[in-house]
Amino acid sequence: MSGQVPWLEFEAVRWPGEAPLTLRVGRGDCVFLLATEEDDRRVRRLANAAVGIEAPLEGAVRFAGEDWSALSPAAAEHRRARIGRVFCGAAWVSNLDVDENVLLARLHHTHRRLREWRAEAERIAHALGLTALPSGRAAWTPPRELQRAQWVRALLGAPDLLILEHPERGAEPGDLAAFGKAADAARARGAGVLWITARDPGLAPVSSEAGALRTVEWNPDGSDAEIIGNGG
Amino acid sequence: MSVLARLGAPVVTSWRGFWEVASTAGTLLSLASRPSRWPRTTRNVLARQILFTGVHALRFIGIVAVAVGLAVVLQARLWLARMGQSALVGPLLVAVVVREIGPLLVNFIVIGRSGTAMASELASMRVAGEIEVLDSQGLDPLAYLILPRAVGVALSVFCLTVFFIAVSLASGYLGGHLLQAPVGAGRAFLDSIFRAISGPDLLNLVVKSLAPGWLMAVICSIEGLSVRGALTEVPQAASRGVMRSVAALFFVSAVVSGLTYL
Repeated sequence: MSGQVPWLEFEAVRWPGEAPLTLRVGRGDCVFLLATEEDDRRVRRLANAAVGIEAPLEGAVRFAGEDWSALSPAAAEHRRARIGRVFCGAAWVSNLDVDENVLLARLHHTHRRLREWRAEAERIAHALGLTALPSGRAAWTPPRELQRAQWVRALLGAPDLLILEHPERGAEPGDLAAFGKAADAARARGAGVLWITARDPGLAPVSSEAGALRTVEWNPDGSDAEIIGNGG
Repeated sequence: MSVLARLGAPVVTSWRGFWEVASTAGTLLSLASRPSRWPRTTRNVLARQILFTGVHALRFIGIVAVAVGLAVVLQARLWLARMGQSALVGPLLVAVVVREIGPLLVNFIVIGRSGTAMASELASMRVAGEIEVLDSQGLDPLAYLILPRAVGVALSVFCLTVFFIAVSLASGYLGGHLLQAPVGAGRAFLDSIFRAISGPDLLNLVVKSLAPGWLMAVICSIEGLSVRGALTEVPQAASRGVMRSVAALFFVSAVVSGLTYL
């Protein structure tokens, strides 16, 4: 969708010992960033930079055209509320139940009633193959359910941007197909998706009909990030 | 490093620590003064904090208050009656229990019970990456984590202090009655207490319970959130939080006593 400000821009972003990374996630785009399975810390750092909570060594990170470093804390928090994220590694606040975790950000940023948010979360959960939102602590919830609960949290509230750190982990192919469909629906209404994965992006169940699909190889050895595929 | 720099470094560090606590406490005070703007998630954490710090501590505070009532109140009544100075019971107990022991003991108990829990909880959250999870979703740790804890602890300490004073005086009164000790008439005891309580005593009680509770929550939260990366730092943060909270408690108590009564 040319002519519109992309949701996410990394401009010559660099961390110590790495080559600069430049990428854009436009409206309706799905950009696959290829990382290795062992790169969790690196992936987390990049995702943190994308949501503006960790500044890179060099370069600019912009959300909806605005540099995170130029925003006031309150303005940055309001923008983060528009981003859905699937975390690799720590993803849950341990003194809350999983369903409370899923609803937490929505209840914090909006005045909509709890029961309405819960109903919407349950609807997304059903679409992703969950019978209900998991209600216990994360430590006692099976990994597959936890991962799907993360998907629900990321999709809840119609976010403008989805940052997905290895979202396929712990999921079964059927689950992932449902998630791909939900991600496509989000793209169809204009959301952008940054999908960080170690797998072949061709296996990801997203469609080129919803918007552009691109693949960026993000090399851990410090060589330049490279666009290796450009579909849609 | 020059001698001057070596001498000055701890002073600069202490000043920075003091400034950090003062500026955080001030910012929180400004946020706390506009409760209509608090997100509902902050109110939920506040309710949990009051439940943990206030309601769950009632039984233990009650037991300590009964012990203080029997040890201090009853003895004061007994000895003053023996010396023919029963009229001084009220002023003495107000000076000892209401002004000093009540706020001091309750704050001590809350620091030991909730301060350590708060610093360890926040430090563990930091180490586990949970603060990052909150931050990523646009939840400001100051508004979501520290504000409700500070408000919850300050309100709880105030209520617990009033409860403590009431129970200790009541147990001193009932103890004398049940043991049939020669302590004078019960009615005269209560009259003496109520007559002795003045405006400055009430102000002293309010400030000495709210301010140290507020500072304790701020100090323990700052210590907890200052941890970086290692689980072994969690107990260290809790220990630092408790020591600094105790120091703040004595400082505030001394200053308030000085300002109110000297």
